[in-house]
Amino acid sequence: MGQSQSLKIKDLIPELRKIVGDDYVLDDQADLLVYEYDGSIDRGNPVVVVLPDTAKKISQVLKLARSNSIPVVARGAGTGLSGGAIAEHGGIVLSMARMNQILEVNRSDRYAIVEPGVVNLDLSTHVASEGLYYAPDPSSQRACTIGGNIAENSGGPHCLAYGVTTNHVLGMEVVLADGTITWFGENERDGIGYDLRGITIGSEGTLAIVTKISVRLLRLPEHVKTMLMSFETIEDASAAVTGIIGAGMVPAALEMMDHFCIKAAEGAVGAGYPEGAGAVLLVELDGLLESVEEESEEIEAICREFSPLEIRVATDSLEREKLWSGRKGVLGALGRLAPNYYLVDGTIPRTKLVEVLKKINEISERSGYPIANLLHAGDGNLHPSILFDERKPGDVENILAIGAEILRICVDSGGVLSGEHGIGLEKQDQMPLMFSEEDMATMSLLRLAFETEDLLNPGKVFPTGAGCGDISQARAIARVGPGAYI
Amino acid sequence: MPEVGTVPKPTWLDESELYKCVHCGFCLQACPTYLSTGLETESPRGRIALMKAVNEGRLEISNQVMRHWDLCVQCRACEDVCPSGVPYGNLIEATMDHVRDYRRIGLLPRLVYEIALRYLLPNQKNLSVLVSMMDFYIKSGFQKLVRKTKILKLISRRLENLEMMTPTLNGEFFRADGHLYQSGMADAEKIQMLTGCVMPLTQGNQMRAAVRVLNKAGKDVEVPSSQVCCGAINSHVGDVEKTKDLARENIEAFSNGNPDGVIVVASAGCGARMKEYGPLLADDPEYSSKATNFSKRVVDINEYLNGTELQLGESVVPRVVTYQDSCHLANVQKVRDAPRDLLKSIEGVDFCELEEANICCGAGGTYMITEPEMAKGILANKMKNIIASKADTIATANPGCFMQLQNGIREAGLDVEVMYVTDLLDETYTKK
Amino acid sequence: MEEKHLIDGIQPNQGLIYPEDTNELSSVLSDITEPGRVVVPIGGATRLQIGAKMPTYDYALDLSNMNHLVAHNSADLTCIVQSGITLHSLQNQLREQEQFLAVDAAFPGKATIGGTLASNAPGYLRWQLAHMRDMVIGMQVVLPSGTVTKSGGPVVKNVSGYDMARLHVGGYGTLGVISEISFKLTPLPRRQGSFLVGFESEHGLQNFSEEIFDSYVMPLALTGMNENLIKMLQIDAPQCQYLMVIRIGGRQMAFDRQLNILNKMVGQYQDSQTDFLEQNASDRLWEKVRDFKGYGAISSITGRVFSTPTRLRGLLRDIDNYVEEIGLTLAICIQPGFGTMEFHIDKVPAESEVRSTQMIERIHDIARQNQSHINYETLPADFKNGFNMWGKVNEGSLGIMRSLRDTYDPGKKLNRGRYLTDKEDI
Ligand SMILES: Cc1cc2nc3c(=O)[nH]c(=O)nc-3n(C[C@H](O)[C@H](O)[C@H](O)COP(=O)(O)OP(=O)(O)OC[C@H]3O[C@@H](n4cnc5c(N)ncnc54)[C@H](O)[C@@H]3O)c2cc1C
Ligand code: SF4
Ligand code: SF4
Repeated sequence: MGQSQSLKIKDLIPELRKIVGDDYVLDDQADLLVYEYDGSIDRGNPVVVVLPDTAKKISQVLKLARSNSIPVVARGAGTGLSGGAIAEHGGIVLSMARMNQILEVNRSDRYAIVEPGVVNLDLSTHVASEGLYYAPDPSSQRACTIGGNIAENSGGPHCLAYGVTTNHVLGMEVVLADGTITWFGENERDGIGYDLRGITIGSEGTLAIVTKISVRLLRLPEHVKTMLMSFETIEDASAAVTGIIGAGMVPAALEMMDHFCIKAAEGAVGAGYPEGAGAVLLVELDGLLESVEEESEEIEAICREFSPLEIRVATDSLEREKLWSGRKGVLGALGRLAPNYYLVDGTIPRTKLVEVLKKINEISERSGYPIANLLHAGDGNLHPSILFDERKPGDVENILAIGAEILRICVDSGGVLSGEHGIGLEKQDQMPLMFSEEDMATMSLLRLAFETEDLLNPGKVFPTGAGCGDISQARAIARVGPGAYI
Repeated sequence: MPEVGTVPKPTWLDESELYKCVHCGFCLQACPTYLSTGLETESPRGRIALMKAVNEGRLEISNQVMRHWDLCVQCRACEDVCPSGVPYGNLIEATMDHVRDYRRIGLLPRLVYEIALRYLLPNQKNLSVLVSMMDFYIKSGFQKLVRKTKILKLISRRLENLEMMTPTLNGEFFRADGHLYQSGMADAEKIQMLTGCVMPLTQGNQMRAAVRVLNKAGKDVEVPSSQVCCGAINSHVGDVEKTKDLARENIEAFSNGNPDGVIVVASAGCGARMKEYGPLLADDPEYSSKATNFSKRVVDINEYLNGTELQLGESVVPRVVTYQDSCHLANVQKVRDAPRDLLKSIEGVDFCELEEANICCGAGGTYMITEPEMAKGILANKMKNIIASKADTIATANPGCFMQLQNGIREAGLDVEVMYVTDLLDETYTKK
Repeated sequence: MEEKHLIDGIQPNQGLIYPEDTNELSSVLSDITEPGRVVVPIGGATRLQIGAKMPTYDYALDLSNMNHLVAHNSADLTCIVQSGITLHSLQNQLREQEQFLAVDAAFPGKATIGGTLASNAPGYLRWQLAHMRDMVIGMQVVLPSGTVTKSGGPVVKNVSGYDMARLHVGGYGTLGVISEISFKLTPLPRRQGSFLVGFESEHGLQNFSEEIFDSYVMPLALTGMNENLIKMLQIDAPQCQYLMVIRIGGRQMAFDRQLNILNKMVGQYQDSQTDFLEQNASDRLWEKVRDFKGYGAISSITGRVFSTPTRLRGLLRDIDNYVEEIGLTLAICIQPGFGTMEFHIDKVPAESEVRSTQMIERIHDIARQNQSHINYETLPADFKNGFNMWGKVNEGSLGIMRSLRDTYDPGKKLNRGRYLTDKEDI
């Protein structure tokens, strides 16, 4: 961030105050400091934080920013894990926190129109009395916003059967970089012309600011059944996953945790996993009572082939909650094993689970860093979490290198760099592992087509440097100030 | 910014607690001040980030920084939802203690503040004199005059607010006079009870109701006379030393006669504080194990009654009741079901859940007086939910919440009665 | 010259190219450097008539030789295909592993997967969830310049980089030529069949579909049709004004339960009659529905309506009234749960251009009044002159669409003059 940029923005503050009101423009040093982070490892200080409450105000802010060539970074709840909401190049942070109204719930057409700052879980809670829910359920759903979900195309445990964010968004109102307010798609499930809605979802706030969203609502299922199966080894559990998918079953959720996670979860919530379990699978089925029963029988039969230590079944919500408790609390609980963890997010073909997990285990043994494996196993989305202690010199550098190595293994096995957390700052320099210069150039052209002048969330998604892995580490390390880690 | 590795060593916070925060943001939606403002600066994660920044020498303690900490209601809802187990309560108390030296507040307000906290609250006699004066103020009609003329507004908003908060007295004081309230049952268990500092004076009737219900449950209730304030308010504003003094006094007061017996607490805030005497006095070689033992004896009255074979009275209580969680009962003591179960067990009570019942009402000890504007904002949200619940009675378990809700209801002109859970239980015996 | 490559009666000026693979496709495109040359990628030529009339074109780029199933990872329920494979061939190969791709466009013996995606023809195999584009997990595209690019990958969950495939689904080959696609697959249901209900009023049809929407039945597909369509397709169905066909599937018990629910619900409709078709008969019926355009006269108008379930009700009535007013027959095929509908106006008499334009505009207006959009898919050739077949999109979106077109195909090498972005050039 240049000195001149910051001076220029300071000059604009009175104007910004006029647009959004005095209380909603923050520029005190202390105030800016709490907008320097999201849920990830990176940091960056904005010059000013603005909290508008209407699309019109956002449009005015964007026009002002554009005529002064100032970058603008949208921010939802700041739970992102790839640095998407971080103002690495200074500029204006546009917080959506005040745009948190559910504007319309249309039961007969099964959609809701919400503002981007609405918290994911709040929407489902709000429509539950109508017998409906919003399907994508990131583990962070208590905190993250629908706007952030759109930018990252977030998934969650139940996305296996129901799809990720992009499968549930009908249309949205956006503000383009030049301040134009328009809709991409509306409330229909299909439309005419290029799918602008689809391309904006997952674009990490680099193409447009989303100001209203029309989302599809689903009917709450008749019956839900959760099964928790413990296996002696992670190989057995992985083989069971491959067996389930291979048999053409698509459960609502299919999650897996390894022995590190089990130990941590056991300590934190006393989930009651059997002694000696090397891995647990959590399978949830929902839908028609009969289909749940038929499928669960088949799944049980498949799993029995891999000699599970125990199978527990729950159908009422309290019991199900108990089975889920270990899984839901596990990330925080990892804090019991080490002061810090670095969570990697890659996806691999589901047939490669055993092979890739074995390689990850080898890295762990070789490097001496424990790696806890937490997986949305059903769709091959891995979250190996490297345990470390930032206070030990060299740890941060080492775990970043390990993270990069794991991602390389994912890509080599036919997988990808990110299953649900996005590229952002964290993985931008690893993009060349997956994509050629041409691929990336073609993608980058979108910013040109949207005429963003590279002012919307600049410097994200694509490599900024020479595109070499080592630079990525160097940059990441350079960005990690004291006390900043996941 | 200092170089990596030259970070100044911990000043006043336990680094291993502070750095447990991985800035995941899970706590945002639990925080009343964040919900009310949408500002990261008024969020738990933001407040912790400021502590870190100060701890790392990247930020100086300024009025602005303190402002954000002061605006914390200390409801500890953030602590309850934090997956990483960040002990936010400890962090903010230590921080409030630390920043007392940085405050540039006028001598007079400071003096008044110190007198109130060090001498008035902890001492029942002094406090009761003050409360009697307030009672006179109310009964004499002077209050009406003041309210009508809005004269206080001219002087200071804060003063006016304080005035609005003057509690309505409910019956005679309930004194901690060493009395043993007997159940009259043959094999009654003897338990002890904390009176607290404010509640026995402003809510004597409610205290008596609580004792009656305990008696009906077959308990003889002793009210030790040498007990003092629990110290919650002192630690709230960061006076850790005074809190420790009070804790030691109470440990002594309750160890006479029945050193292992149950100590029932009718005020959620006090219960929470006393359940944490253990960690509070962990560094005191003489008291540390006594404190741990003491804390184990402490039990909230709702939690306690729900575990007894309580026989309710004959009277039907036809009310639509909802329940507002008291933060320090739900978030600190983790007692959520007991009060609800008790309410549901009352014949005639139509229980309905309050939306966002687990979000603070803005009372926060002295918070409603010191931060009136934020408290009002938070309260306004609460009122919306109360209206939506269609309840005619709202039950709670803490005097602060009781007063704050009463104020909210009065200002919003609602026809809703605020009651303790124990009051409702008592009605089954007393209602005609 | 084959008839296949005639577009609105126009032949390619320069010739026909059949690339065998992506490399060839790439060099073909990069070799065409002369400014102003127009290339039209062609799959099965089943949907070439959609869009504005192109003034001229130079090369027919026929992809029918790029017709391989490159990989089928059945244990992972994914596959990679070349874009020129026909739906029929693909589904046959997948069926061997008891899997299928949840896409079923008309004329699957001819329609290629690339053309189906590019022209956004998702078919009926979708109820609540899946749109064809949601099955795409990765895509390789050759840009007009010949550059080969890819996005996504062969895994089912992926947010690495922009989701470029979205632009090409429904992009009618104006931003690049789709060469390979990765899909996620669906297991074939164990049991399948169709439940038929005949109604005497449109009201019954709509109410029943709403009830299904609210029940726990999860149809694989659901469509309603009016008497005209029943006659046109010669469907052997209960006598009725409106027919609803509900395709259900699943394991035995779940299947039976759904049938039970349907039977119980339908009992409340006095004027209804039901029938049930086992798998084979059901498949045949759905084939007719899918290919219904093939049953009409050449001189017909077909269009697709995008709406919401409730808006569709009013729209259907208004269009019906209007077509009746002008003395023509309207056949409709409606997916009430989805808010979409296809309509077919049969045997439109050749008339002066002015009237036909009026008629089409009028239907556009009716759609607008019902907050819906219409996209015409076939018009009699002489209707097309100078007429915009595309429905309206808002200015903001259109601006971005034009800009995308200019960015990715600055010379308008691909399909010039056909897509809604090119209107000014027509
Ligand atoms: C413990 C934990 C668990 C998680 N689990 C999951 C999980 O299971 N699945 C998953 O997918 N993710 C998960 N995440 C990641 C994160 O929660 C998601 O990426 C989420 O969608 C981010 O939402 P947010 O509101 O916090 O957005 P932010 O972090 O604030 O922002 C994310 C991106 O969105 C952009 N943005 C925000 N609002 C707008 C807008 N209105 N218009 C345009 N751009 C905007 C920002 O610029 C930024 O690029 C997890 C995170 C944590 C900390
Ligand atoms: S929930 Fe806990 S770890 Fe997460 S931001 Fe809040 S305090 Fe920090
Ligand atoms: S204690 Fe309450 S007010 Fe304070 S930060 Fe935590 S949730 Fe917010």
